[in-house]
Amino acid sequence: MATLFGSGIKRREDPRLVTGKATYTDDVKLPGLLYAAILRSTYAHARLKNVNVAKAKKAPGVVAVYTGADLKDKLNTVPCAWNVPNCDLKVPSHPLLATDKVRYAGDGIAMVVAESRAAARDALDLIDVDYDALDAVVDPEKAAQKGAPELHTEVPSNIAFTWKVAGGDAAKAFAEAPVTVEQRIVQNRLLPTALEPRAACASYNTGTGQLTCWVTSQNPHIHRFLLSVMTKLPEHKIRVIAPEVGGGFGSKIPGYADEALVCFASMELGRPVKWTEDRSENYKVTIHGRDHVQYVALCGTKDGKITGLRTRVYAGLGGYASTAAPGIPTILHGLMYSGPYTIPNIDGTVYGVYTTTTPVDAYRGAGRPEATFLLERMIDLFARKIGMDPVEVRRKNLIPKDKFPYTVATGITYDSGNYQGALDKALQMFDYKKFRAEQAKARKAGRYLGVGVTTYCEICGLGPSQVAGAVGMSSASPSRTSRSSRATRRRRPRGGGRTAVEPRRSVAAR
Amino acid sequence: MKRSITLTVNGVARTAEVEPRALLAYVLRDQLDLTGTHIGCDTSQCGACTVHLDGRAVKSCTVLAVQAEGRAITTIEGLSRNGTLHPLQQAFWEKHGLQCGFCTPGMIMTAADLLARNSKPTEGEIRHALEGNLCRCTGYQNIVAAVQAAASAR
Ligand code: FES
Ligand code: FES
Repeated sequence: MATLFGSGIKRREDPRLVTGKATYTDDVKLPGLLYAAILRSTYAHARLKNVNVAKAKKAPGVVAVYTGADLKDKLNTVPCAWNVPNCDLKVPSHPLLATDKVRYAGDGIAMVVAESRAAARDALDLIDVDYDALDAVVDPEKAAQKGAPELHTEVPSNIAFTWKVAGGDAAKAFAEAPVTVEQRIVQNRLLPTALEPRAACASYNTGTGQLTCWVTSQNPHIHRFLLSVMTKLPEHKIRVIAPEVGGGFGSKIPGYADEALVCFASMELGRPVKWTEDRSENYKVTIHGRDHVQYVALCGTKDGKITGLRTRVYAGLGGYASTAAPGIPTILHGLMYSGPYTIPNIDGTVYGVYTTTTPVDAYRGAGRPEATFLLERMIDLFARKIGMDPVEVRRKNLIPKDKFPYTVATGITYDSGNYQGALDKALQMFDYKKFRAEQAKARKAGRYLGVGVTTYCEICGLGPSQVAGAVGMSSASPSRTSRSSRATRRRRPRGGGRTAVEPRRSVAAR
Repeated sequence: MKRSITLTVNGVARTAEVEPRALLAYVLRDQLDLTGTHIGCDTSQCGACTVHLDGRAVKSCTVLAVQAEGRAITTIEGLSRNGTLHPLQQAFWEKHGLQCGFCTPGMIMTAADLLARNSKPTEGEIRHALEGNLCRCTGYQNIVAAVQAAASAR
């Protein structure tokens, strides 16, 4: 047997993946299968005056057409599953298909179900939508100002929540500090772009009342919970199957309206229904990441000791609060403001802001890279201002290895670590001294060489645990692989996560 | 109006009733049940749909099914015959040339076309040949290594 760590293994998933025998969600085909297509808003913000589906209903191959009005008493709205505590989070209604208003270009307006993909897609062109265009606001900082166009009547100034984190006395630290640096940082919105578009295929058995849904999911248990909320079916009547998943990067964590819509169509029509987004739809509808405007100040002494950090962050949420959206710029972001450092005084404020854009949710690191960049950028600016090597500033402020467990100013306790040791090792592997000498030589010759230094520290492992409950995750999932030993002594790996990129089958076997 | 087309797919004569506008990628997947050919975009960017048409790699999302009338198509399912993996399939497995695997059929079909024309490509030639195939997971390094390994195994 290969040793447990440090040796390569051949992945068990690969034979089916390299031969084209793997099953992704869009590969699922069932007898009597129907295809769904969804009409998307072409406006970022508009009142819906009228949606006329009469022509679409009569089109060849069309079996049914649904609008928001058809769903009203039959389905719930799209839930947000991270109810962050100690903030005034407002989650306005997010209908599965828009009823009175659209709030981003891509918001669903109507769904066509037809005998073929092409027939469903063709019929979308026959739907007449009468829009009354409203002003759009796409910048989270601008959206939070007075007078900005408001998306939801129940959310004044589009501010979904104001979340604060504080420890020590930042006001005093800044008043007394000999050195302060300030910076406005924009962490741009980005597209996750899994190569496999999202898809869902639902099959409702009218005899047993059992719903089976194949879905592009990184977490089928969370999807079952969210589908249960949206369809009003109890969880034990729903089976969610996440077959092969062609990349996720976070974008296949949330529950989406379209996944529940195909379940609904299958329940209504008694036939299986499949929906697959195309790439353009993926960019408009599947969640985006980041989208922060950050105002940051850091203060310290002339010899490199950091004494305080202050932030004011506008985090764009998009048109509605997606599944985990409120937790990302708060629990996963603000609690990380100390990074691996001993910053005694921290004062952070995060505004979650609705904007007329695609909803923002978990993307690669989700909130933590935004915190890391914020902090590391400020340390570089600080080092430059006091004329100190950026490595030495970091070394001076890392939590010393004999101080663990260590509670940082944001209130969380780090159990163990040897950060100086890790830094020394990295510098030695890179040969930092030699590089600096080469750099100086090159500079004299008119060539510019650069080196970037950063640390990365991450809060993780949220579910299922007491921690997940304490921070308000209502969909806390069984996503940790546990091993139960049975009488046969066969190891039965049980895990709730799904391979999107990482080979869980190989990992579980190991 | 649908038209009947006959084409040879992975060595077998197949017939399908298709709309003139139907794209080969969809006909392969939805009508001929060959779902190893993937669709990752609507703009001919990603290459996940790559198959061989009369021995040359094409993006099947950019070929009308009616254009394939009377021609020979090889999909990822037809690359290995009689149960042994094609050297490229073996090399992608051994060199960790995939993660989620969604781009992999297209990568392998494009690389197979390259190796058929150039049995000892340089790294630069491999990268150039794979220019039209996107992968979001692996970072390409191991994909190139896999193609190099397959070339030297032949
Ligand atoms: S699906 Fe053909 S190039 Fe992307
Ligand atoms: S392995 Fe996931 S896209 Fe290439």
